[in-house]
Amino acid sequence: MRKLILCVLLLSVLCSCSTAPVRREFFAMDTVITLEAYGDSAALDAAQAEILRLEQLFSIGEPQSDVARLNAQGTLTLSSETAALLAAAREISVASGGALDVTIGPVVRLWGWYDGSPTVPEAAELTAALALVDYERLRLEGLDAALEKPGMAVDLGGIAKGFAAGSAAKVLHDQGVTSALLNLGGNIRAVGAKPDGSPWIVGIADPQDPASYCCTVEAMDCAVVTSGDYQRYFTQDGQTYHHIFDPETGFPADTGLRSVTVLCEDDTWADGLSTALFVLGLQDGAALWRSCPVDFEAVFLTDDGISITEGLDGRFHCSEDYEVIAR
Amino acid sequence: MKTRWYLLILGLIAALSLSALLWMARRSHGPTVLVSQDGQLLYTLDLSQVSSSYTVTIPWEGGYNVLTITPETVYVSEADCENQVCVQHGPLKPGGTPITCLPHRLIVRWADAS
Repeated sequence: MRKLILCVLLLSVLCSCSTAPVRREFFAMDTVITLEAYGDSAALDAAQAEILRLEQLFSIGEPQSDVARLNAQGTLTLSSETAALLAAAREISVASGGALDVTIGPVVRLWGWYDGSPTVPEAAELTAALALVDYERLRLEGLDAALEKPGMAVDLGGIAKGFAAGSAAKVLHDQGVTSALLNLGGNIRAVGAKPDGSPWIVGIADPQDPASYCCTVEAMDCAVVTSGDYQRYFTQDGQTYHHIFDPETGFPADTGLRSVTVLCEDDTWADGLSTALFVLGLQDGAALWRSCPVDFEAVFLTDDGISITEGLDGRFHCSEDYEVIAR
Repeated sequence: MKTRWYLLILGLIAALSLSALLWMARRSHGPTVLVSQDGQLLYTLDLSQVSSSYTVTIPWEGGYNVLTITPETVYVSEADCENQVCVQHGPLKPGGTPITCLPHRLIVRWADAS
């Protein structure tokens, strides 16, 4: 009897201890980053340090980064992380027919996004910048990279946060964390499930009203990355221009999509694919979903409605009607 | 006899736990908004304590954001950042997305949002 009562006492004490997540919020990679984990804060310290370390390699604005030095010098022996990221970007470029192209740098620069004062460029200047955009002319051999034309420039804005999210998740995993949610400016990484075993619920912003969520997806051990025209944009002469460029035209992609959300186990692919799908549009994006060598699911939001790939059926929740794209 | 003592202790713990729960329930606030800048929490705003709207100016490296706090919500009513995303976001909506001003490293969000 005494043992039984002791057990009850012990259990009651244990149950009274709530397991609150540790949380970290900081600014890096030109966005706000929120890390939330069920574990100790040392694990979050390590994940934060990893993100800041990768930022120093990938940032185009950091003069000593791999990307800045490659752009300035034309050739560079890269860190293994940058080489891995560029190799993955190349695979996504091939899979998407060039809809993602990390050599988009000259176009982004011309539009003034690096200066923080974007404007619509002159047509002749845009033609000249576009001639420098070609991922096939970014040569990669092991750790050695070379830009084959003078003036070419790499911009990892469409893919670097995904890589960083995956690396941070790996750090947390190595530290024994089995339940965490990372948010790198819209690049979400679900590490495991919630402590109670249920999936994480990730909201997708409503492009018509980005202050609200319009739908949610369930996620466990995967990345959830959204690219949308409402995230960064400017207005000139009554026209709105967003920041996701079509490498074919050098203009913001205009395919009728307002946003694309990709769910994929690989964070780098999730990030790169969300950009590529946004550029491709709904029909070509659905074709990529069917043919892609890496499995993923997607939510397409247009002004006319919502479409999801069939693998999300049952994990996608929305008060509006939506179309399910069949394989 | 000893069993009786254990039962008494068990009862005491149960009573204490119940009191703690009641205290936490009473202590729990109405809708609460957190305002942080560059990772530092600046304000915890319990909107149930707000009887009439007021503004707070939050400086950042020569710039500023003006927050308007109402009994229902919080919004950035004015800022001198270059992109004005924080102003265009409008008021925080129940269960909605946080307000972010990247240039001024300001985040305004509901306390219970994960």
